Amino acid sequence: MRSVAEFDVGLEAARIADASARAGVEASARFSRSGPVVGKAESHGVAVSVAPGGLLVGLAISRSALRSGSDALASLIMELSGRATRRAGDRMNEVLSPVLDQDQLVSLGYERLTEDDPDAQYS
Amino acid sequence: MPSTRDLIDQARARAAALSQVATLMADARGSAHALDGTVEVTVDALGALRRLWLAPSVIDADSVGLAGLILEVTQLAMVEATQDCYNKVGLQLGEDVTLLIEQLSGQPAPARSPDDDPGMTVEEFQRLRSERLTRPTRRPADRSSASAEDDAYFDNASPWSG
Repeated sequence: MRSVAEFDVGLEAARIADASARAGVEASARFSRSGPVVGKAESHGVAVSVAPGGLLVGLAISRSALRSGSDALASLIMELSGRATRRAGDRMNEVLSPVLDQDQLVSLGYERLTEDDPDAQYS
Repeated sequence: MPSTRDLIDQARARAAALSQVATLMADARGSAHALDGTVEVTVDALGALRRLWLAPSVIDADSVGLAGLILEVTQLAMVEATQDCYNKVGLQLGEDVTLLIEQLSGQPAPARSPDDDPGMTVEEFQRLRSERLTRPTRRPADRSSASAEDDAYFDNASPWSG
């Protein structure tokens, strides 16, 4: 016999999946127009690209950037990936704002950058 | 047979469990390092860099190769972070909530992957242990002079060797 807990979980999964499928269709349509969202930042011979959420997906390091030393290089990559993550979040917020509430977007880490935010200035 | 009150309590407990997932994910981390020890990376559940350490020797490395290595180690750390999420959820909220999240996210726990290293099984551990314990008496001829010297060192160093 199936336990009540299993049934409950199945029902909850179906309910959430249904809601997310509806949002997903709308979101997919918007992403197909906008293209994949990537956040980028570049400085001192280092260029990074991150996926929404912050996963590093692209990294270019120049010879001159190596000369600054390993600690400085690691710090620069960390700083740039943080900036790129905020930019990707800003873009995700823009693309998904018609689909999800602002509260939901912010809880996912997708926040709008104001114009005077230093990270909003593309280098 | 559970009462209606039990069912309501169960449903409430499950809803409360689901609401904790975001909190648990916020604490999840994954770390990985390059085999040569030159790159160490820690990421959070979404993949954002939380720590990056580079060995001083990387300044002499090929910059393209180094960038590729950092990306590769980051991917490995991400797999660890995903598994850490599931471990935290499984530990705190139980296996059925973990399965629910795997269904919803469409992302199975990395430990379920067929090529995931399952570690040492109990049988394997016992077999290796029994081999280790019986080896010196079974195969005395295999003992090299180096291991004999090691034994001599331990014999001399032992406070019980008299």
